[in-house]
Amino acid sequence: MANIVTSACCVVLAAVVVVYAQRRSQQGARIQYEKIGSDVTMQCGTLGSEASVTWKVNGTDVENRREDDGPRLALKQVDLSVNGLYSCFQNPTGELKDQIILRVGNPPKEPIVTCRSNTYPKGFYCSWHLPHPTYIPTEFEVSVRHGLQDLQVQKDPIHKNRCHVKLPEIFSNNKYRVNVTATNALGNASGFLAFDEISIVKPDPPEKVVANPIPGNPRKLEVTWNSPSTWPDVETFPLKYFLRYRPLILDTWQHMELSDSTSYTITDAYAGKEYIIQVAAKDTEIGTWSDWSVAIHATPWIEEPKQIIITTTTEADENETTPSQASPSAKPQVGDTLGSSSAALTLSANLFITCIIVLII
Amino acid sequence: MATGFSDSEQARRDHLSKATSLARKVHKDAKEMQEIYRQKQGLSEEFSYDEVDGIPSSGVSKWNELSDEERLRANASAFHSLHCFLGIVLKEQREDLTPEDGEFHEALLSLLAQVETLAESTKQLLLMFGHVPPSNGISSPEQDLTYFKKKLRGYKVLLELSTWALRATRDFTKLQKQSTRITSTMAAPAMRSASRQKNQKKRGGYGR
Repeated sequence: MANIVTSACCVVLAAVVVVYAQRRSQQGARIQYEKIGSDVTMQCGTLGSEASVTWKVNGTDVENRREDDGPRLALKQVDLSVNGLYSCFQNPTGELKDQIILRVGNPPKEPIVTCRSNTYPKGFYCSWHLPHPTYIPTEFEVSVRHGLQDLQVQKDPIHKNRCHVKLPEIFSNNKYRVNVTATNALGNASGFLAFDEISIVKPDPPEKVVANPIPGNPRKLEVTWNSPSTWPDVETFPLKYFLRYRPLILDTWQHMELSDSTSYTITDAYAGKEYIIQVAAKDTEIGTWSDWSVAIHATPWIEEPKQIIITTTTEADENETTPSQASPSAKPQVGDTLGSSSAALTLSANLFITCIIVLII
Repeated sequence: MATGFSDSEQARRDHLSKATSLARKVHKDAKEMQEIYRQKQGLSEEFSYDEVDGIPSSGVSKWNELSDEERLRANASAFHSLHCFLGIVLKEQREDLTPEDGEFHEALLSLLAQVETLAESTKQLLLMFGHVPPSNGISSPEQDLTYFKKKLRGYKVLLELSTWALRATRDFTKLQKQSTRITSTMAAPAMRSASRQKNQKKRGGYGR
């Protein structure tokens, strides 16, 4: 036990040392950002044009370097493979003169913005993404305008490309205008989205969808659900629901639209068949339907099979007056007169099987 | 089973229900007319219509905190004003902007009738709830606008009508739910005391 702890400590310590060493080796290194496909020149510190230097990238010598370049390193039509830590050493002393972290990327293109209100009438959130990757750190600034007013924007604590805005008023005809500006070392670009308050309303799917069979009813299923917990006021802003269901074996859905009710009994289910059920929600007046809830499976109540009594007769039994009775789990017995010998047969068969099982183990 | 509603309460509930349905219909129809109007008049969606004055604006910042009276008065006042404006819009369409488009005028006329009913309904609700309807002494809308300003105003009237009707739908729904809640809490104590009496009778026999 102690050995494991000691080993773990050693591993952690080693990792810390490696990271520290890496950091120290990059200390004083500056970052140089360049556009993919461009020609790049790196300058070794403040050395004059007569200086002679050796360049290394990530510790290995740089290939194909022109001798007369002095303190400069030229790279043509760079791609992502040139990324790395470049060090230059003055000849002939080998003194380290400069370190440059080269990062190749693209300036941002116009961000694509989408907004949605799943918490109407409290507020909405907007998300954005860049149509093409930049490969280098890129920051985003968001501003929201409503008529002549600039609204306060709150960054999402978890999602980097998302922000939240409170609705300053409702039933407004003034459009909202959301502007997102992406900026990095190589440039910037802005994208925007303009919309009406009601066009972005889309609730989250209903929650806790449950379907239960109803005892005594082989063609019914009772479905219940909750309104989405993110919808702040279902009393004043009621939701309507859309239920869809189908047996697993079929492709076509049955649909049912319901107003302001969080339960429904399916009455036309095929007996004994497993069903798949989903529910969606929408504000009764505005906006669009939510995504479908997680699908749930349920089978209507099935009548338990009654005890089956099987009587088989042979020629020897035909004159028997009392029928033989078998327990539900037993195989049908072949008449009473053959009972004792068949019992012996069964016993030896069981012994044989047991021997086989023991041998296998 | 007793519902616990008096005749006047029931009449009010029926009226609220009808008003909600009408408001919902006006919201839907006005929204459709708004788009038809925009296309016929060749207006861009990006226009700012803030320059058009006098039309009641439906946007409100603390809608949830309004009292029942404030809600109904705001609706009554708005629909009365919008009815007036819509009448002028129809006149301008007939005489100036789309003189040949009889079908369009018919549709506007139908909407106008609905708005009149909605205005009356809201006034009636105010009285039923024991409040005083707002005085209808608003200044008559400006008649002498430029051709272009007339176009813009017509669109704005339909725009605001649609959102006012939506706001009214929400207001009436809220009032309906409140009325249901009040009546059910009123009924419950009566039922509780009745069952208590029953239980007491039962228990009497056990000498408790």
